[in-house]
Amino acid sequence: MRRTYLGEFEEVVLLMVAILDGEGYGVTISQTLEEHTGRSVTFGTIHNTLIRLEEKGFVKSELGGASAERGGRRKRIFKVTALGSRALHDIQQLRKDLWQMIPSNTLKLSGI
Amino acid sequence: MRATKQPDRQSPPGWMQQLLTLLHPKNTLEEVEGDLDELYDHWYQKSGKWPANLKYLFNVMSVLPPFVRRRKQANQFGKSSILNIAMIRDYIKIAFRNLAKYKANSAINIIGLTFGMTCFFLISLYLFDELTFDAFHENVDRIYRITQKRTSENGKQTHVSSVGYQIGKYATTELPEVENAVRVTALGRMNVSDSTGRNVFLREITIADEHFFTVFDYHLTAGNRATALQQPYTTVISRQMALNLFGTTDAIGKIVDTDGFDTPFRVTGVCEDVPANSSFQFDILFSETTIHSEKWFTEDSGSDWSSNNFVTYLLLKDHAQSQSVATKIKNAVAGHLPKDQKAGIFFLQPLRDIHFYSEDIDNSAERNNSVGRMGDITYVYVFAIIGIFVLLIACINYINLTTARASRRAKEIGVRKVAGANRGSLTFQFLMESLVITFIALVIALLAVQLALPGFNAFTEKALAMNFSSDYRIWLIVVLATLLTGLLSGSYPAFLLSKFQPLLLIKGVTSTPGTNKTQLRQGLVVFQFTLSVVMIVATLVVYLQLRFVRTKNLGFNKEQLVIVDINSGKVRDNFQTIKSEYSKLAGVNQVSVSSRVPGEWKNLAQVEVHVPAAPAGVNSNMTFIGADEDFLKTFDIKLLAGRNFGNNAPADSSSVLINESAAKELGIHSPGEQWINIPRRGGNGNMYPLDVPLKVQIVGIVKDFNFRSLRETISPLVIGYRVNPIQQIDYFTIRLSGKDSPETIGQMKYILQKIDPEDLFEYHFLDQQLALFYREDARRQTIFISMVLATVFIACLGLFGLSAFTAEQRAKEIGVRKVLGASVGSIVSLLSKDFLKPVLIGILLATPLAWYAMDRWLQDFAYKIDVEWWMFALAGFLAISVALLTVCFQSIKAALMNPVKTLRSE
Repeated sequence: MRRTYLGEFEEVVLLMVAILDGEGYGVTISQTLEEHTGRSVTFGTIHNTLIRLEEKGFVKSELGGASAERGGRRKRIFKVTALGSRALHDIQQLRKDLWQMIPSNTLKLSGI
Repeated sequence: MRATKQPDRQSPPGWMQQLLTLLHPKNTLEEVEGDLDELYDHWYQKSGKWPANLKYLFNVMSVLPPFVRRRKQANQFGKSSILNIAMIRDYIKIAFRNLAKYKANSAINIIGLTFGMTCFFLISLYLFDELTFDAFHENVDRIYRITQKRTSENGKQTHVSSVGYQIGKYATTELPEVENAVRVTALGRMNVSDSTGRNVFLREITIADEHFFTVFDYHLTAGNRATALQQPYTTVISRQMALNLFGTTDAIGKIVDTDGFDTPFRVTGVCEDVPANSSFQFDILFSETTIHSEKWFTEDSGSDWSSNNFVTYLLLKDHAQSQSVATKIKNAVAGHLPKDQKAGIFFLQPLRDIHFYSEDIDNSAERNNSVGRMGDITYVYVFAIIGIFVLLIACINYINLTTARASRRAKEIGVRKVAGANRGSLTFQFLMESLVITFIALVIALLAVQLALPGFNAFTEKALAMNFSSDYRIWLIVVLATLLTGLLSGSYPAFLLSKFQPLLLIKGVTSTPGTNKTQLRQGLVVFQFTLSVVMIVATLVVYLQLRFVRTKNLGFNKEQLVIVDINSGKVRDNFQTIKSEYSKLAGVNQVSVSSRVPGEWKNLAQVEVHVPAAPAGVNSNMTFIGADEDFLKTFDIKLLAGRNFGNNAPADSSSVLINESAAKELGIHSPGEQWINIPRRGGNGNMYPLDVPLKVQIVGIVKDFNFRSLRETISPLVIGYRVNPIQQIDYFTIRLSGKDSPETIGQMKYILQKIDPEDLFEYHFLDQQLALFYREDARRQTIFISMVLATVFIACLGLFGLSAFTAEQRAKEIGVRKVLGASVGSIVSLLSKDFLKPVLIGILLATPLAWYAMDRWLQDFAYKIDVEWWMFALAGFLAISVALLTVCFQSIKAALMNPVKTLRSE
């Protein structure tokens, strides 16, 4: 089966959605991203990435949670789908497997 | 917590927000705007205004095209549109299957809607015709009628639609705003005939100048529009008139004889019969140049600025200000009047307004050209509201029946939902269903309208039609009304049914939001019955008032009175002979001659009366009638004090009788041969001095009697002797003894024509003439009654459907109750009780509404009935009994059913 390609930034954003666990929408995602990775990106980048993730089926979204802070406008709240969660696990598994394969002194040497 | 934070929330600069709103894809705008607002607030708190602004702008740019990725629409994910042809076909198929399955229900819905739509269409046609009065003239928006308002010395205001001859001339030649003008005046009635004198008709003669057909668009079938009325002694006649006179419409060049002019007229034009929705009616027009050689014209009218002899219509140029034209006319008139005379105020009344807004305008110069044709804008509103209500009640029926039966469709909806139908497609399906039903109702309603129109036209005296040559706006109304009816009746059921949860539906739990639903249904029933009761009360009051008017004691006995017109000098000179011969006839009790008769709307003479006690110049305005000594006896008018006229002409020509109102106004308590002066007389709002001021003695006071419509109060009246300088005798009044009137009338004709063989012998019965005053009211009454019947019928139809449904739904309950020993009566009352409540509330709501409306209507009459409580009680009683009858039918049916049948079917 051909695996859907998940880009690096996409993976980070998907992880953020997973971390926020049902609380993730444009603002929280971009703030968490900045907080934990130190990466400051434009809002458009995140917006586009989320749309792309949804088209690929890794996240699903629905509108809800209007509040006075945002002038009564609704948020688009994102959740990780089963497919998205599979993809994250796959990546983690792949990384783990790859780490196992690294000879034990290679990184220590380069670390000096 | 949020509430306290809210005041210091920062919002980004407006123009940046606008940029976002303008350019960002619509389907993600809401969430992006919200997110960016929140972020802006965050940045602002962190680093201040300007950095935040800059960051905001930058981020806004990042979500504008071409950088932004567009979110795909839901239906772009390969979903089928609800407007798919196959689906529509399916919806229509299902709609018809449902119609066929629940036949009684469908029939009730269709009948209700058909009824509502038929009434609505008929009323629309009627109103459309009323509102497009005179609109067939191409220049209707530029044509105005000059009217004049003036105040007499004693403060009485008159508003007349006619002005002096010179004004029309002045307007065309001196005023740049005026493109054209046309003068029209009524000459009174004349006998017209063809040259052989065989076909004689008594017709109202109208004089019109040569611009008549240039300004107005009455269609000429033969003759030249521009020149038809140029020459003296030329005439334009209507098609019907041509047929009457000559038996052919090819009448150009033919000769018309009259008894008013020595020279015969030549026909120079034949026009189509004047449309029914023209406020100006005529069938024969004489050229104005004809009267230019008459003595009264050359000496008086022709050079006159201030009289009221000519109705003058102006055709203004585009964008001309009618107000300034009126002012210029006023100034010109003031410049031509003698110093001591004051010019009135002039107005230009738009042609479109004439039909509705001429109530207070005296238009005797047009007389029969418009008599009885005035519209009343209030009734236009009333009918429009009624039309809409009838349709609304029909819609409510549909809503009630469909939502009540929702459970029937529950399983279908459930399966559809499970199979993937979303709310939109279900909503669409139910709307399609209601549209299908509305369309079926439309087809039947159009047929019904065609069937009803001949009768409807006959009694509204209109020429309404609904066919392919009808105005496109009529069809627009039909299409819009149909769509609206369909959508309105379909919308709530569609909204409600599509909301059901599929799981509950399939389990069979249907009454999810049940209580609200029945409340709404009951509310709608309340609404229906409120309207019905208001309309029943209205009908009652209108009916009673009109009966009151018909039977009110007018102060004289109007039964068995025949009025014979005096149309020629020969008859007038020999009136004594005729009178004595009439009174010898077997069927005749009394004969009298008078200048006017009660119930007459033609110009009643006005006089100014001066009592010696009053200071000079203080006069009272009164109406004047000339009569002989038999007048009181013939009309059965009571003499309160003093004496009647005697039989000796020279002595009595200086005697007068006055009525109670006049006595009160003059401050006279008993007739004692007081001398009074009548210095001036007039009509149409003009008063002018008599050649010799009339000095008369009051010899008697008579009881007030109504000589006009009951809409007006009785005004002061002076009854002068038949020989007087104010108005000559014009009518014989004959009181018949009651038997064999056709034969008596035949004898009267014979006697009259012995004196003047050319006389046409015109006569009418006075009570019939009086009824004409209330003709419009009677007509409206009929419309009212039919609409009320329709409303009540439709409302009951709905109630019938609802009760049938309830009875069916509670069949098992009733079965169990019966098994346990409930009586038929208790079950009937159980089922009927629910329906009585909304009807009762409806009655309560309707009472104040109806009271207010009818009180307003009655204000119009000087003599009126009171709105009384029993009218409401009767209306309420009617509504309840009809509702009960409807409901009981179903309840009794349900109560009589064998419980075995209903209980077995589990």
